Amino acid sequence: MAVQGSIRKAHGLEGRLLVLWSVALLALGLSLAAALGGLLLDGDASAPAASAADEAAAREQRIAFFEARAASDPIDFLSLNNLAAEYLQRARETGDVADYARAEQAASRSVEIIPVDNYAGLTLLASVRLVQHDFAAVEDLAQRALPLKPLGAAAYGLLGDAQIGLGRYDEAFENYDKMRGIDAGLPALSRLANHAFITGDRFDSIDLWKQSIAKSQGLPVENQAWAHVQLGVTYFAYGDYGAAAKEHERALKLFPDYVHALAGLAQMRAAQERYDEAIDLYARAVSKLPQPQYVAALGDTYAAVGRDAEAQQQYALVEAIAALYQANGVNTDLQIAMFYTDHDRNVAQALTMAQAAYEAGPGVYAADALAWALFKNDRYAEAATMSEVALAQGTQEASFLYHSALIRLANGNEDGAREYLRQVLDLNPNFSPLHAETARELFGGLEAKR
Amino acid sequence: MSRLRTVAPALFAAMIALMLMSVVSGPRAASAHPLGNFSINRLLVAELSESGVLTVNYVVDTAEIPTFQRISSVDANGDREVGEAEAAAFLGKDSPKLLGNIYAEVDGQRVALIGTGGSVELLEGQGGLLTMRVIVEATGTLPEGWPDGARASIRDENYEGHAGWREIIVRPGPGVDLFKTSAQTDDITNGLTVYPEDLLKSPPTVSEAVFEFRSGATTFAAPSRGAGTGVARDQAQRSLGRFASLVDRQNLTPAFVALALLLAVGWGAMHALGPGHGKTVVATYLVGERGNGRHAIYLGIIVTATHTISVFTLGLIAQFATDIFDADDVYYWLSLASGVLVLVLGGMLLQSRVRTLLRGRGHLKHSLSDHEHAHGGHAHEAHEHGHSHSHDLPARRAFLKGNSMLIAPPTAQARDGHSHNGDDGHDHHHGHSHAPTAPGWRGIVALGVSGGLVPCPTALVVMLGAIAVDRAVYGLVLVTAFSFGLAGVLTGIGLLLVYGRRFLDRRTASLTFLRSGWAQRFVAVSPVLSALGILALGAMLTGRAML
Repeated sequence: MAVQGSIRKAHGLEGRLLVLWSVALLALGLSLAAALGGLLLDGDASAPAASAADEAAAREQRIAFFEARAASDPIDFLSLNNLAAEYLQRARETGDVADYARAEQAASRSVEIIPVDNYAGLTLLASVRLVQHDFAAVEDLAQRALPLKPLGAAAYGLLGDAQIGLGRYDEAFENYDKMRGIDAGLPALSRLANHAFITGDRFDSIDLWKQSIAKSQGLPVENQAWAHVQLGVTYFAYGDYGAAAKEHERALKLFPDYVHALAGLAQMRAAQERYDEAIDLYARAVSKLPQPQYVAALGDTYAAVGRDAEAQQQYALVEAIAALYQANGVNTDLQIAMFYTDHDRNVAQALTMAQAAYEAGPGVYAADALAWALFKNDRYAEAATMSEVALAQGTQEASFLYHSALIRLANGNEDGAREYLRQVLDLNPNFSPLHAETARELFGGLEAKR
Repeated sequence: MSRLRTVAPALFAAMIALMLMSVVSGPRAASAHPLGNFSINRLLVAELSESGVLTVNYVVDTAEIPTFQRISSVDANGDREVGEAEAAAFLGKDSPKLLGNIYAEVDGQRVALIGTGGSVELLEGQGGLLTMRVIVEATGTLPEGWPDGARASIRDENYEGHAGWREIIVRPGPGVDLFKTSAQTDDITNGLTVYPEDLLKSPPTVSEAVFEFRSGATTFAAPSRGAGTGVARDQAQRSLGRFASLVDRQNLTPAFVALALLLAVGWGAMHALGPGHGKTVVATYLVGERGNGRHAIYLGIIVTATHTISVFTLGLIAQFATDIFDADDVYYWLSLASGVLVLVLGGMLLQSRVRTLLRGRGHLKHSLSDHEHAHGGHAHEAHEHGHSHSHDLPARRAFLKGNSMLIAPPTAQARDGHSHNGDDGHDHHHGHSHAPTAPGWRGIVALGVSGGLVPCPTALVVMLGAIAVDRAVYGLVLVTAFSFGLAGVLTGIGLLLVYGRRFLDRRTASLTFLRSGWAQRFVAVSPVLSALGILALGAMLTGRAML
């Protein structure tokens, strides 16, 4: 038989040569495969020089491949899982909200096909629910996924995310910490960084973002850029505008025209009172992706330089987007409530929205929005209670402190108001083109009265 | 897992408060536009007429938000309608801009597009907002000489980078032969008024089309829109869905089980005809290695066995050992193993081929007649069987054309005519004639295992369903039948190739040009190329598994 023949040959004189040959050929083949894999696979260490455009092109190919597979086999849940993951990442990169609907369709179909033993399907569906701010659903799905793979990191992260949204910060930390124990990469470290920021830990929030960036090598370029933007946002919260601008510029170098980096840099330029640059950057971000908070910020910047007509146009656009969200049955959004409250528009409706948001997820951001809306609706006592909730974690967010100062003032507590305003100006003096001036004037007045 | 690693940060995106916008929830809330309320959708329809005119019909369907941002340019008086004067002003300003960003080139010459008309209207959208539809019509003159054949391209650079449906359609008028085109010829959106509702089908993002045309009757069929559309797909869906439903039927009568088995075989076969399942590797191997019918059949048996065991094991793991394994992870490793197996097989073949080739070279240097003598008894057999070395080119054209995956490896061996005997055990007796003959059994086993190792998700779902309703044995039987059908197709293809090749061998034996010097030399290297082909396919499978 040939088998015996070749075995005999292999043991013959040329045995050693054969082994050498085999090793060389296998190495050749494997490197060929790795190169091929690297071409198609983002986030692979073998392709460090990949650009955002290359990654996007490779992603389109993968999506087409898995869409064809899913189309030819309606119960191929593995392809559906892959699709959901790809759609989620594409949505991050393009801001195309329709991709979230696609991800939802793919993940929920996968979970319908295999309802129990489907860790990836469950965690992917949880990710979609997280984007939709349905924290209760996220918690439920993550709890279902956890026992399927106790050494999987994703479910711990999602469980923690749900708890952050629900304002249960201690539990969230425990889960994030477990996640870090399993895999101390960007997903775990970035979550811990966010937790550190909310709980007022200045050193850790900066340090963990730096660690996240260090660990983002080899991930999709967008993820690396995102980590830089987040560090920039954190620097801004602590009033370090120069360092923040640098991070946003780094992000833009990695991922040209990255909307969040454009808007982040615009925010820095506004804080540095370089308004023309800020307007230009915001306009670029908004023309790429009209996210309501960036549209509102563009309006605020116009208002800061006295271009009121243009500011009003942007505000009208935010309202249009809000109308669309409502028409589509969108989960009430804090941003819209905050926009209304900040600009004294529809303050009654803003209160209703903030109340609903706080009920669905009683975290500090929701508490702050609700306190601010109560204040604008002249319900000062309730506003004071709610602002205590917003500040309870020690979050170093200038706008929280500013809102609390105004609420104290309305309740006749001038000393408390002055103290909070002092903190605002120490922490992040140009925290908002809309309110920074008022904060300075109020503080000056209160100091003079002393 | 690399796939999930990319998602994990995505999960977190929304958590950084207010970083991500709120999102429309659920398909029920999906808007009419394929990319949501932010999209600008573009459709360019180009028609080529016999009289040498290129007509362009360009539609821009703008969703609510971008319409809101641009509304002042079309509705100056704010009455939510486009008056005649407003339309004229808008088109006068915007249609040259839009046309200026459309680049039509024929044989390297830009065709100037001259606006001939257009329209703009505002329509009621969601949330009390408006959407905008702009249509611009234009014509251009084709350069003289096009009737003899011209190469052309159309590129749309409007709203670059903006999300939306992007498609180019090129249609030949009567008397124009569009014989090659990258573009679609049919418009499934009816001018961007109806969008497909299938969410799991990303909209097209085509902003450039290349095509060739001449005068005459059309000879070319447009490229297919892929598996994602059409009736065939719906049928496949329903049919496969029914396979999964076989398991939880209330009463299992013998007649029903018999029917179910038949159906399972059929579905397995149907599944094997889809992409994947190592058909190309099997084909390359059997043809390149001069396999015979028996090899093809054993291959089928091994694939069936491996696939059944694989599905059953994975089903058991999913059921009872989930805390150790995750189905997705196991799937990933199995795919990888399957690829590496082919890779190793290719590597082993290659090393033995190169060795043989190097030896063969030495003998060719002596003289051709020496060489023939050196083969002893083999030479006669080779002649009897009609010069097996002469068939490779036609064979690969005939059988492998249209298989995009395959870089068809040439096939024959100059000195291996005896493989038809089905007895491959005697070559090593002869001093240097180590030319591989029929496939080694190790190869067949490796190939069969590789082909069956990765379970079809369909079969896996059936197995899981059966275990869930305590019908594991029934599930196993169904999966075996399914695997059998799957393997049957692989075997069938193998047999077809094996006998087809022999048929061609005989037919082409008399072609004298194949005995020329270059042909001989090519024949000498061809086994190496065949091994390289398998190596490359193994690399591809491995690469795809890592995807």
